Amino acid sequence: METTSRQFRQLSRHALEQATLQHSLDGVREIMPRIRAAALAERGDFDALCDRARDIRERTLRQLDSYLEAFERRVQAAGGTVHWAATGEEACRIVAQICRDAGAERLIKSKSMVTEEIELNAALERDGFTVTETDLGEYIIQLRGEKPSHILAPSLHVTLDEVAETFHQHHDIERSGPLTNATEMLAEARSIMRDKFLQADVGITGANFLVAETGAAVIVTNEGNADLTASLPDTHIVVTGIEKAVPTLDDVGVLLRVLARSAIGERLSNYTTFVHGPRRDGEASGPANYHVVLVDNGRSEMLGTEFQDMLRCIRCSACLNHCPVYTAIGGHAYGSVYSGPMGAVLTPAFAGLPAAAHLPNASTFCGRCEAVCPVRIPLPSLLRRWRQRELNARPVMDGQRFGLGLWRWLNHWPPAYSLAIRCAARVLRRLSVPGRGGQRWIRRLPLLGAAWTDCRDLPAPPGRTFQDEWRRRRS
Amino acid sequence: MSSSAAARDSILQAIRRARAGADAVPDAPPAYRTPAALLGGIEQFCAYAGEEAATSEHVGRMEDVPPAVLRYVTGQGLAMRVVVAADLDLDAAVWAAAQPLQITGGPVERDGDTLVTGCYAGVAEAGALIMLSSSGVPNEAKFLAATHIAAVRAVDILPTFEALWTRLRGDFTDRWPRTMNWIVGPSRTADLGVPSKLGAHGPARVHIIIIDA
Amino acid sequence: MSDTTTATNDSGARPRGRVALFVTCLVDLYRPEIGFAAVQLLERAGFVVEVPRQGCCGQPNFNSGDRAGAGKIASRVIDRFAPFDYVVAPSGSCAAMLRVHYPGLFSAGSEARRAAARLAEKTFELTSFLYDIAGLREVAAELDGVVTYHDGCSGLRELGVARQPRELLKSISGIELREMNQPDACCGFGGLFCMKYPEISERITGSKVRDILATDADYLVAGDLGCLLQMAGTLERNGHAVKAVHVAEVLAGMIGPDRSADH
Ligand code: SF4
Repeated sequence: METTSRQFRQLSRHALEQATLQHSLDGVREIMPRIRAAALAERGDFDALCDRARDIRERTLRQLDSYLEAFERRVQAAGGTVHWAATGEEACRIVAQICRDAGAERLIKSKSMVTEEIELNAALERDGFTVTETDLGEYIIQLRGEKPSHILAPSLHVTLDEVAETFHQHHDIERSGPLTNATEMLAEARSIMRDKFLQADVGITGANFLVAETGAAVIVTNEGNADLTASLPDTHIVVTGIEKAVPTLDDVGVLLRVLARSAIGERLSNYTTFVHGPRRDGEASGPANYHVVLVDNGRSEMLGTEFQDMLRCIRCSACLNHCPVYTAIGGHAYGSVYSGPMGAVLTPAFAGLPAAAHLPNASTFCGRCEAVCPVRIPLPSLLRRWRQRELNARPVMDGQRFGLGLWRWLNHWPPAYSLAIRCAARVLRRLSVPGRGGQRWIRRLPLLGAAWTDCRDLPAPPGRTFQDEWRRRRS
Repeated sequence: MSSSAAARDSILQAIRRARAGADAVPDAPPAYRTPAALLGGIEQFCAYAGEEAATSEHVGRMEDVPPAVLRYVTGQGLAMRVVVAADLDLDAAVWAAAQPLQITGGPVERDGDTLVTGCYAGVAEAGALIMLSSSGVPNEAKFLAATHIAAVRAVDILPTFEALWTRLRGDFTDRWPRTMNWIVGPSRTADLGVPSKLGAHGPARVHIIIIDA
Repeated sequence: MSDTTTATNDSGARPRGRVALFVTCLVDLYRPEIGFAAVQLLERAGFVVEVPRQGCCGQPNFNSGDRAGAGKIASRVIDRFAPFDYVVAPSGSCAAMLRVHYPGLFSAGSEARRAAARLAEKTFELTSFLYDIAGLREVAAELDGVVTYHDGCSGLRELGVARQPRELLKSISGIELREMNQPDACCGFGGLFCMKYPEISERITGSKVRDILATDADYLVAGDLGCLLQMAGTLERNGHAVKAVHVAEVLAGMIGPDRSADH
């Protein structure tokens, strides 16, 4: 997976400077926790559902091979073909070959994070196909040549004005004036998209779940674009990760209950589609060819490791919406299609730790992600494990290792610790200046301390530590 | 061996390797049971569909559907032409009662068409219409129409997903319908700001006619 | 123990147990008054309070991925604090370190793990100790003003501290507790995070400060000095008059217009 996560610092600084992005992120921070909480309040059994959801995902991962095989048998029995891809490139090659075999030129797609991960569009375009994203947000960023900034709302960073501008640039808009409001823009997109749907040769979708019991690929959307993508063209290709298997319909029911509530504060998304295979004899319509491409791309390697829990993820985005870091900098700063806490765990796994070392470090460990995760992934613990690996990979004379070693040493030698803290107390007191209400403040610290005082003041310590004062008072 | 077959082997092997030595997997618990306090019926179904911007009304019998369609189309100021899906078990004579409404058997062609369909079931806990692909209705019609009117029998409105699975397993045992589409209210997008805008790709209006008898 | 100083229980009744105060390195250095406030509250509740010689709980090492270092520090803390009936910290995050994370630092089945688990069981955050263990329902303090309470992340999510400080605050005469929007949202401190990614931290604190100011409160109260330093420093830098104070100081009656927080 290609990432620009190494530039996390620059990218996040850039994001912090963009007023419109900051405005959108404020909206996420304000609205999403509220609507999720409201949706949960109605289900007195939400915690029980999450426990169930976690157990279902856990149980599946522990027998993933048999569920995938059962799913494959079902799809084959219904007349579909299942393909297996060990890597992203392999998956792209398989999809391209299916398209070529279908004599296809025009492809339509509904939103899928796996296809973002393996950069399917770029590969297909290199092979000469025309690909159109049909999820509106995804379509907008496709026109703009951008990556998703949120796993569910990919165009979160784009303002309405920018959407209008983008449409004017790329569409042959006959009307005289500019598109001025969302309704006009939606009508414009709808009419353009209609033609694309009707003319497409192949439809590509992701899948939220693969049901071993029935062989269904379950696809969830709000716009209804996946249903059209899966119905109109003559070939339907489902591209998804191997971890999406679930044993039974009962399990899907539990997962759907927690998915939409966590994602968008709804009981259920507007459209949930179960696809079992190609058109049958006597059916009025539907694709004649049906393919499922199962993508590994690093997933099986996570199984059985300390990161296995991450494979439970159902991509609901609750952890992004509740993350103080994500809502400060947005998705692009992560330099990866997966952002927020889930992205900070997944990206090092998919792209390698050296490329993504910033991501697990850039967390306050506030734990809100874990608290809202419907499949109870211990995201902070997983991030901490990445930090451990990253620290161990650093050279012995690295500054951070040295600092931590020194701190450990001080804490082992009480006299040294007391001395150090005492000195710090006095030095800091010296550096302080009087402020309001008799309180003293430090406005500026040298060296490492500047990281604090560049952004905020520091209340001055009284100059004598608690332990010293306690012993003085009590003796 | 094709590359996909090689990949299949290597993926399954990797999964098995990871599993090796792990504890036995506990048996799955019995199906989830929604607490009684949360179980609802037709009222819940209508209320929840309504919160997702669908409208609904009750009629007594199947024969009352055409006049209800006429009332809805007139009330909304829509074109006096509807596409009626074959899964709606009503013969032409009954539709005559809905004159001057023009009835066609499809397909849905124009962006602006109104589609009238039957419905396999409703699920109260989500306000969802459950539609199956069939020989009678081109599946895409439900997503191309601008207005979707769905008739559902009151007895087919089930409380929970679990009740739906039970019914599906009874009806289909092994050969599952090719596609099953769950629909909750009109199509919408959240990509053009808050609140969501209706009518993204599919219908901007969903009206449910509940047949009580 | 030669380096342990003991205070007598000033309620006169039989002591209810020996509490070791885990004062936390930030309180030790920055705001000793919080430590004294905690001692006062614990003594008034009938406990004998002792202060074993101590340092840090090891969180900086643990959260930076230095498990081995965290384990070494933890062993030291466990040794020092094992003899007491309870360990109480005026900090949700340090209490959570001892209570939630210490046992996992040692290999399963080891004696060290068992010792860590024993310590974990008797370690509490100050307000939850007062409310849940000591059964305290009201404090003898006055404060004429509006306060808003920030939930420290670890205390809230790892220890379930939310109701206890609020109930105790509400028992103070003259006080008005006014909730801010999203009191459970992170303040942006995050330990070393605020030093490693200061700009992001600043932005997070900015949102928090907006929510605090919207309440028009006179005092911002929290149970963790880390959060308080972060928010106080930002409020001060931007010229806002809200005073950031620790819940222990408020409950002990040390805060008020005539009682300066600086000593
Ligand atoms: S990690 Fe959990 S909260 Fe985050 S997207 Fe995945 S399932 Fe949702």
